[in-house]
Amino acid sequence: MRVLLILAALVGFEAHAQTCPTAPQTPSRNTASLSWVRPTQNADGSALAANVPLTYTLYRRVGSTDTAVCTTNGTNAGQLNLAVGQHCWVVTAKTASSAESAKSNVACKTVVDPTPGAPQNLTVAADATAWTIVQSRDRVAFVAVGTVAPGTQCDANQPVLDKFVVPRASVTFAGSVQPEVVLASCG
Amino acid sequence: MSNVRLNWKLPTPNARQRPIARTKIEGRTSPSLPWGEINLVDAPTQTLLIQDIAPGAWEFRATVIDAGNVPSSSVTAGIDIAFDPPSPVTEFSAVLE
Repeated sequence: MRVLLILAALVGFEAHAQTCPTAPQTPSRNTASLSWVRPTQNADGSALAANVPLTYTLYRRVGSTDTAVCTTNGTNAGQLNLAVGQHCWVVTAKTASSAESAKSNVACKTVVDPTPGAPQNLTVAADATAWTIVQSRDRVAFVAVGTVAPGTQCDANQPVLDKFVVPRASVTFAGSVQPEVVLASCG
Repeated sequence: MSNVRLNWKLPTPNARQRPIARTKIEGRTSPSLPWGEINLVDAPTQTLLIQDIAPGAWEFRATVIDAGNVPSSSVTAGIDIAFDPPSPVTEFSAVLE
């Protein structure tokens, strides 16, 4: 009698499990599109007719605990608005009158924080020294060649140690050394 | 771009001097600009190759540093690295007028 009550409670839970959202058409950072293949055999090896309706239950797996999240009659589901971290799922199948199948393999997706966009408008903050690179043996050093006007746009894609490439035309050279690549401290 | 080799002779410390630890090599491109440290060369090495530097007038100076990290006075050397000649004109032609 107690077993029957527990089973009834489980059936009742599944009956109220949410319907799975459809898989998003366009993949995005914090969604997952899950799909699986309909079984063609029963657990005992006999054939499962293709026209037998199946209900799939999608479980979220955290550690060794599986929690049902939704059900669907299709072979795909979406999981939306996922938080940063790893998310794993398994799925089961059952007919209207059968017990639930064993769980499928595990599928996981890791949601990472979005990469921030590149900072904009990196400029020379104050009247700054313009530098050239000097290489010798085991070292790269900077030697001053002039000054860069404040507000000069720095090339954020070309950092060298703590300096950035600046347009040569913005440099006032102090001597005759006027290298092609000039750097300044920016930002 | 050119390479410049700096050569020097280290002094022999007398009884009142510490052993020599290294030579500091600095460079600048104008007397109005500060010296920039290019390298520290451990003794007894007495040469340094500077690679791929731009043409123009360069000054270099060497400062001996002893084992107590005390510097000597500096010795300066200059070099004019020649600029390449200009490229020739292109599409040069003569037409009858």
